[in-house]
Amino acid sequence: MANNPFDDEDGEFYVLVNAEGQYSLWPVFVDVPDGWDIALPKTSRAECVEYIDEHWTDMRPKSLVEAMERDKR
Amino acid sequence: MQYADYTVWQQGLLGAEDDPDSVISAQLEGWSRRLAGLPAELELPWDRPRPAVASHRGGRVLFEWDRRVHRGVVEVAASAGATPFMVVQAALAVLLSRLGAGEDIPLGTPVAGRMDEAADDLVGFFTNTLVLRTDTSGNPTFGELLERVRQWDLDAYTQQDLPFERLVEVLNPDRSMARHPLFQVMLAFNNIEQAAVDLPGLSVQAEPVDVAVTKFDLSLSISEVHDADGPAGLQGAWEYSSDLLDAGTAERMLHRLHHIIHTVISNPDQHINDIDVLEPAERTRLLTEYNDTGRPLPQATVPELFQAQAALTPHAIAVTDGNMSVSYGELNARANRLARVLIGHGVGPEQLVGLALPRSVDMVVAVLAVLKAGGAYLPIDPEYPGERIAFMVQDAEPVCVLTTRAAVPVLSLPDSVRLLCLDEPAVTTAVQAAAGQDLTDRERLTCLRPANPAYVIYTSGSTGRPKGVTVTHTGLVNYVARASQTYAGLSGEALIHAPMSFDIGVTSFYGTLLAGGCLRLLPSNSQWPTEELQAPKSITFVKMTPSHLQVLLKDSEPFPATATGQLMLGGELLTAEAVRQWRSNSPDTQLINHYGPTETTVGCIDYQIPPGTQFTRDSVPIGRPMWNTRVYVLDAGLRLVAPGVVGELYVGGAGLARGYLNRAGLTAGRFVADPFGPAGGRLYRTGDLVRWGADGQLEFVGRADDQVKVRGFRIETGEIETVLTEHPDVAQAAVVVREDRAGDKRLVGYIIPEHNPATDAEAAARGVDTTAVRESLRGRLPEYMVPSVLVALDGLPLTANGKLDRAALPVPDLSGMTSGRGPRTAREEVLCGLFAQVLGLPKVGIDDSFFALGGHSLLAMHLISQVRSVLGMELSIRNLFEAPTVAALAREWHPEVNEFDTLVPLRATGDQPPIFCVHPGSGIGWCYSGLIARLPEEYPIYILQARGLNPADEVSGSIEEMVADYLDHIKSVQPKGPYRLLGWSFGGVVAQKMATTLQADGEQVDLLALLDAYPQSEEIADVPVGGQISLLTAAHAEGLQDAEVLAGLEQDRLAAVDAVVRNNGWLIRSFTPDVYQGDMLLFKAAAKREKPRGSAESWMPYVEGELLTYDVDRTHDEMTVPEALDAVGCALRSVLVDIDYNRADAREDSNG
Repeated sequence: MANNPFDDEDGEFYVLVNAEGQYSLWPVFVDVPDGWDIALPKTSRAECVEYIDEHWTDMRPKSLVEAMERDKR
Repeated sequence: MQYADYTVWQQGLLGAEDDPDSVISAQLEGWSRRLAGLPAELELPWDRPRPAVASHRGGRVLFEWDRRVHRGVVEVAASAGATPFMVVQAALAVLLSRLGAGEDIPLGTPVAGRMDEAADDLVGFFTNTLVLRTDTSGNPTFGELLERVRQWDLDAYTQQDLPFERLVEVLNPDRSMARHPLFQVMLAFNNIEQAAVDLPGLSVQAEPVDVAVTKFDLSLSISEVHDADGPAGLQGAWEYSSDLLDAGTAERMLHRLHHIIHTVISNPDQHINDIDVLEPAERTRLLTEYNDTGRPLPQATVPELFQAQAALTPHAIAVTDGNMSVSYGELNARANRLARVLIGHGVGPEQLVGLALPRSVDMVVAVLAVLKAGGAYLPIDPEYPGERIAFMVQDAEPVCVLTTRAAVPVLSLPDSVRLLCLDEPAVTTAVQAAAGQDLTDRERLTCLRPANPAYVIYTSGSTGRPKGVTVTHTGLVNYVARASQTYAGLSGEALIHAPMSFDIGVTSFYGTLLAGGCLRLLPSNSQWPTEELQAPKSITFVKMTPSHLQVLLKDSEPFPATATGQLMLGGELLTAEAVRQWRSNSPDTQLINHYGPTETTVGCIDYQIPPGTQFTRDSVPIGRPMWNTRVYVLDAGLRLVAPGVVGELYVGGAGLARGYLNRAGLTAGRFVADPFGPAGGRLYRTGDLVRWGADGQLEFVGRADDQVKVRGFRIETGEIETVLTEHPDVAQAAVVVREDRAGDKRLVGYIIPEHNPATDAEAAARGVDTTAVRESLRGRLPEYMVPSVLVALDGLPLTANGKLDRAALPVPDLSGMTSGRGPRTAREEVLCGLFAQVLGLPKVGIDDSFFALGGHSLLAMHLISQVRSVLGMELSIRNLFEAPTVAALAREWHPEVNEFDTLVPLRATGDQPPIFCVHPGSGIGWCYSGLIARLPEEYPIYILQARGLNPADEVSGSIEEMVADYLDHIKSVQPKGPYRLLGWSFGGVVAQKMATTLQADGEQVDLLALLDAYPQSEEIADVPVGGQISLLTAAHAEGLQDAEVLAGLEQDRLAAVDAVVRNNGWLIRSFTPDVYQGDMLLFKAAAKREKPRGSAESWMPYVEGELLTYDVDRTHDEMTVPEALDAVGCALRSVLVDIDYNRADAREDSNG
């Protein structure tokens, strides 16, 4: 069994994001699944991880963030 | 020309191997190059494990593929300049690759060998076999693959004369009776027209004969049929080894091949890994049917569900910890009070609270209080090293840490952390003052929602940093709702024995509290629930790891507590053997194999093992997904693999954790987009390799990465390696799990010392202080992550492609780690024997620390249970930590059973008939303790000791009386034969008399072994009678080699032993043996420095069978020293194997 495509340090990846604002690393050779958008075009794994660390600062799903915001009001 | 001419011609053609210019030399060179690094065996989704010796039984499927397929094959071949054979070869390679055989596919094929027209009319066998190797890597198009095949084959055909048998001899692959060398799959193409045989008066037709024999795992033979229109179809036979496959599976493989060929002839540009190898029905099954797990769930949080339960059963006992029991109503009220205090300290949803509390009712209150306040708890195990605790607290930034005053100094938390000691008067007062009714969202800092976290548990991280898994109420409620409905035992009494930092306890904790059951907490200072499980209490549910189970299986006592309840195993591979052993004792326990990483909230897959299941594989399936859970087994291209094929397990659904706390990048690489489920869904990629079994249950196969499981703990070896290399003396490190003894998995660290230019590498390897390095790990890693042993190496062995060659890492030599001082007393002798047995070492000195020799907490449990059963000594794990050596333990020893009882077990466990060892003249039997480590664990061992050792008892009046007494005792353990008896010196004579008495009563004796014992020996009688001097001399003579054994005894005991020695001397004088019917083993003391005590011949009149003598190079007095027992043990082991084998045979005969 070959190594997992997500662990390929030399592979090319997208950063995907879904409606809940959750991010996923994604190997470019596999079709992008439904419900996910490309947040960062094809680049190295390291850059993708850096991008995600930088942009995904609140790991709560968006629906929860919104609900908690509503509670505040 | 004749066949003999052919062989001469062949030899002439090939030339001599020692001639570098000969054809055979060139071909050998060519084939060695072509086949370098060939895989030894193709792994395919077999129905059964490969037997050690192939039976060559086979079956076959005959098939016909129609004209269109045949034409397609011919056309694809023609347009690529290839042959139809090559098209089928490429397609077969694709099939095998896609079924898990890898990307380097060797196939065998016969070649006709009639290279010269002169051979055309000759009768004889000319055929040779070629190995054709196909490289399917890089996901080429089928056309590209076909071109690879074409080039490889054409090159190979130029050297087809080298006889295959010679090639095998020269390449010399690892040979095995289990498989064909070099290739296991055969492909044969037959282009020759059927020979027409015309016999007058007969109509003749060729019929395939099903010979049901196959040399190969799989074999495909195809004949092309042509008619006037050209290609008219392909006819073939698909043969398979019945050792490995059932007919149905073989047929499905053939269908897949047909489907692949169909696909590629219509589109040769298709990439091979994108060809669908699944049948539509299979795809539906894998995607939909197996994942049809949807269940409506309450949109609720854990506090809501617990409160509902508390309202339903307010007076039922919710928790008991041995000291205290609380009802649901009280527990709920206490948790409500503490929750209000926590809210006052700023605890609310999305906030963390550290929990560093002993296992107690207060801990349960605290857990519920944190959840009720809306917060999530972070379990902190006070046993963890300070550095790790500090890291967790700094990483997770809890609002505060709940603990006790006593625990504060142990924790050594950074000053920045706010502590809340639950036993601080100010806190208790505040809690008492708070209201006890249920909280509502109005009181919380913000509303509590199911998507908020419930707890964060840290697990090992491969980059050297542990990571916190954030688990939500949604996941927890989803898991627990099913658990309390599926595992009936949870509504009874469930045991919590593990620390909260290990999520194995979550099933019992919430499953019970949300189902109205009672939670029994194992006292905080005890790690193993022996008493709880042994006492016939009401425990109905226990979850433990298979490693825990191993400890239970080795324990002597049955476990009535779980005998009719539910026993859940999880956290690591469960073997079929462990299940079989458990069932033999407790057939009524419901066993559940439970699978799930922390990231999927406790569990996501389980298998309720049906009673009586026979497993074809060595491990037990993990089962099917739980509620609202989807599982997929995927290949490296994230495609579904076919049933039976190993792939990586991905899990989606309600149970998924939110991710890793503050580690977004890491989270996005493990919790990934789901290509199969609802839009926008996520899958957790587990790193576990699994496959779907034929019965539709998932089977765990192994890990895809370096994560290991030791005693159920999940460990990234990378984390340990990182910490090791941070030590100034260590340049490089590799950590692996070794199982050099079956069932005993240990972490072993290999270190390369930091290079010091002043010394050469070898000196550096000698110089590094592995003990000191190992000690330094203790301060930084939890106990279960500290390698049992560190080995210094000059360099790490690497494979050809530069990876760590795990197989080449040396077995650590633990024996060199033991110190010199041997046992001084009987009890030390026994303890040394037990240490050695549990640690798997040949011997252990009295000053050796159990833990320094690789002992870990589970081995400690095993030792404790052995010490209990042999010495009746109650040890706790803490005692062992405080006194980890034999010398220290022996000092602390306060015997609770009489070590001078007539019958004492040295090892009470084992499923073979026991071996009874009769004391020598001293009357004391502890000299046999060395046998514990020298006889396999399945043999129980008991010692018989003279009556009269207890000062109150009278000595035996005759050998006959003694024998009758001993027989009563052994029958209390083993009511029926066959009996196994052993004795040294005086004890040998008694053992022989016991044997003859048993035979006279119609019982069987199948082992009688004597250690330097003779019927007319005078040695006992020679001992001067009376006085302490005589006693010490006699004791010395009879195996208490060291007078210190007796020095430990009180005065009245000494007098009793003295009386026994003198009495035994009297008894033997007037005794004559009877005739023993059977073979007798006599181990003779044969050291030259001593005159023999007797001769084997003296036994001749008393043995009606063979007298098998063994010389042991020791004196009479030394017959139970370790070196002598090595020889005795070795001989006994082989004799016992024969006896057991014959017994099994006899049983089979009588059954058959």
